[in-house]
Parts: sequence; C-alpha cells; structure tokens
Amino acid sequence: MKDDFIYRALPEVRKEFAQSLYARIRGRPSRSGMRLMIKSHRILQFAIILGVLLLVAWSQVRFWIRYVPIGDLWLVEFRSTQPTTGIQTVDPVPTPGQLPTAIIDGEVVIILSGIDYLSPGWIPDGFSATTVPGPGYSYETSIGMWSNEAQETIRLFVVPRTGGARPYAPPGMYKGVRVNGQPAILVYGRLAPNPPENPQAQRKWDETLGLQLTWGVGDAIFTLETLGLYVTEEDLIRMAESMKVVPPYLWESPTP
Amino acid sequence: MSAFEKAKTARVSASGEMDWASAYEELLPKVYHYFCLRIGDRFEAEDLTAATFERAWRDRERFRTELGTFTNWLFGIARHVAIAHLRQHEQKQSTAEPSTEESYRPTEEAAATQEEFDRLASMLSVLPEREREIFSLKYGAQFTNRSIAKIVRLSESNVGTILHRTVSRLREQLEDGK
Repeated sequence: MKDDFIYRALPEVRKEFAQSLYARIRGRPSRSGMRLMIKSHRILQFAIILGVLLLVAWSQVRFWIRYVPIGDLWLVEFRSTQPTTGIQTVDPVPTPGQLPTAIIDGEVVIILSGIDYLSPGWIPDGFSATTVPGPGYSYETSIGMWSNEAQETIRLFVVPRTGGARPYAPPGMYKGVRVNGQPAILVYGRLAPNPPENPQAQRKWDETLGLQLTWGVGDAIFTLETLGLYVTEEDLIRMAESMKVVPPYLWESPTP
Repeated sequence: MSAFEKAKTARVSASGEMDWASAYEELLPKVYHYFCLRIGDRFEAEDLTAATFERAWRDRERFRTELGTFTNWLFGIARHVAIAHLRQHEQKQSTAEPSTEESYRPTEEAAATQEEFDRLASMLSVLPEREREIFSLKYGAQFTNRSIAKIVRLSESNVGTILHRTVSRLREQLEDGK
C-alpha cells in the first residue's frame, strides 16, 4: 500500500510547542498532589480560623478576669465593671476545687473542721462584739462581727483554702500587704449595689465602700471587711495581726 | 530497549520512576499527528495534544501497567479529548471562525508541507467518523491494525480493508487533484 504521501503531509511538531508544553506539565502537581494541596490548604484555613477564635476567646477572658498571685493567695482581677455574671456585691469568686460541705437539717453548710477559729486581741475604738448573723453566703462563713454606735460593722469570715472564696477587685483597687509577716491582700471598696429603681444596671466599683483584708492561716482564708471608710487600713491590719486561735467552744462569743 | 518500549512498559509510581522525558519525546509526535488527522487543523491539534499530556500528567498516578501499556492509556485520553472537542465543535460550527495563528510563520519547506497537509485534511474531512478514526490511529498514532481492531472493536481484517480502501481513495483524489 503506497501511503508515503500521508507521512509527507504530516506537519512536524514545533519545537517551541514541545518545549513549552513539557515545561508546563512538569511544573504541575498530580491529581492526588492537588488533592493533598487542597486538603492541606483547608486544614491550614481551619487551623487559622481556630487559632483566631482561640485568640479572641483568650483575649476576652484576659479582658474579663485575671488571677493575680499575692504570696500564697490569689486575687481575681477583673477589668469590666462586673467580674462575672451572677456575682453579687458580697459573693466572692470561688477557688477551684471542691468546697467541703455537708447537709445538716436540710441546709448545706461549709465544713470548717480542721480550721482554726480566730478571735482578735484588739479592735478599733468604739467597736464591740456583736451577734454573728446566720449563714447567708454560699462560699463563706462569718465567724465574728463587731459594730459601733453608728451601726458600722466589721465582719470576719472564713473560707476553706480549697473551693472557698477569693477576693476580687479591678486593677489598682488592691495591694499586697503583710499580716504578721505573712502575705495578705487589701482591697479598696466593692461593687456598688444598683439603685432599686434600676436593678439591672451595670454595677460600678466604688472604692469608698469599705476595705477587705484577706490572709491565710493553715487551710483557711480569713477576711476582715468593713462596709465604709470608718476603719483605716492600718487599724484593720492591726486587728488582723491581733487575731489569736481560740477553742471552737469560744467561737460563738468572740472577744473582746 | 528504546524509549518507546520503556514508555510502553513503564509504570508510573508515586516515587516518579516513570521516564517521562523519554515517553514524552517518543509519544508527542504520535499524539500530535493523531489529532492533526483526526481534527484536520494543526493549531487545534497542538491545543488538544497539550490537553492530553496535561491530563495524563495530572492523572499519572492512575496509570497501572497491569491494565495496558502507557501508549494505550495515553491514547485513551487522547480519544476522549478528541471526542469532546468534536462535540463542542459541532455545537459551535455555525458561529466559529477559521483558526488562525499569527505568530506562526512557516518556512518554505514547511509551507509546502502545510499545503500538502491542508489538502489531505480537506480530503479527510469528508470521511465517515469511523474511517477517519481508524485512519488517524494508523497514520497518526502509528498503531498496528491489530491494536486498532481492539480499540474500535472490529476484526483485524476489517480494519485492514477499511484502511486500504481509504488510502486508495485518498491517493486517487490526490492524483486527480494534480
């Protein structure tokens, strides 16, 4: 079969075409390579999104609260006007861990066994011991109360070191002090209660609403607090330093 | 063993053991000529050749020697590319303009070949699809009659007869044209 006329008519492959095509295809990944690239790209995208979300969440948490170590104590520092939802004026932020409680007569009470009971050897002028109110707080137990003629009060309460309360304050509203050489935290003021006509308003920190002095003794954290500026911080520290361990049976009637 | 034989027997592995350079060198003209004869346009043939090799390179990990030779696999892709092109071409034929390639300036010798090819392409354009496919596989892809018979699912003697009849007719037309 004479078919050489066919071969003669066939055009040659242009060199430029052959070279450029070869260069082009060798620079491309295979289908599985592309899939891998797409998958890697998606994983990277997901990781970036997750990272951004975590960063945002972390920054928000950092913005809201920060745990500040002061000696062997911790203070919850918050940056907004309210530390966390649901915290009341006198409800501190609980520490991590299980609060030792028991149900007695249908009431949940904090077990203070193993915790020393303190009674002051000195109190500010004009104050005298008064009846300790019954349990009213979730994370703390009042063990002493003193008042003056103006019905201004000093309260002493205790919480277990684990699961109990921590003092909280915005930046600049606290400082580290010493009670008998041991680290303690002095907080200026508290969250002001809302006016009755606007109970849902955002609460503001008011540094004139007393002092809170917190220090640790054994497995307990003690706090002396006032509700106004009628006791100086020096007097509060002096009162704390005068605290002596008393037998539990004397706890019901703190001295002097 | 020639590069073509290597290409026929080579296995594409994930580690890239395939001798692509040799296979490309050997099979590029065959794929290109297949498209030239099948489509009848040198520039479209370049585009379709590029599409074929690009797809083959992209899917190279799918090629398995136990299912056939690399050449068969590559021409399987080429035939699909050609069919898709012809379908598109049929749809666009009413509005399509003739293909041009301004940057291509053929030499005198190439111009003579171009004239011969254009004449051949013109004669091929009136062939029935099946004859044209068989003709392209034979003189473009350089398959044996037996291989073509397997591809188009005809007997080898049938393929031989069709080719003989087609070539004779083309030669007569060519001689008449002179």
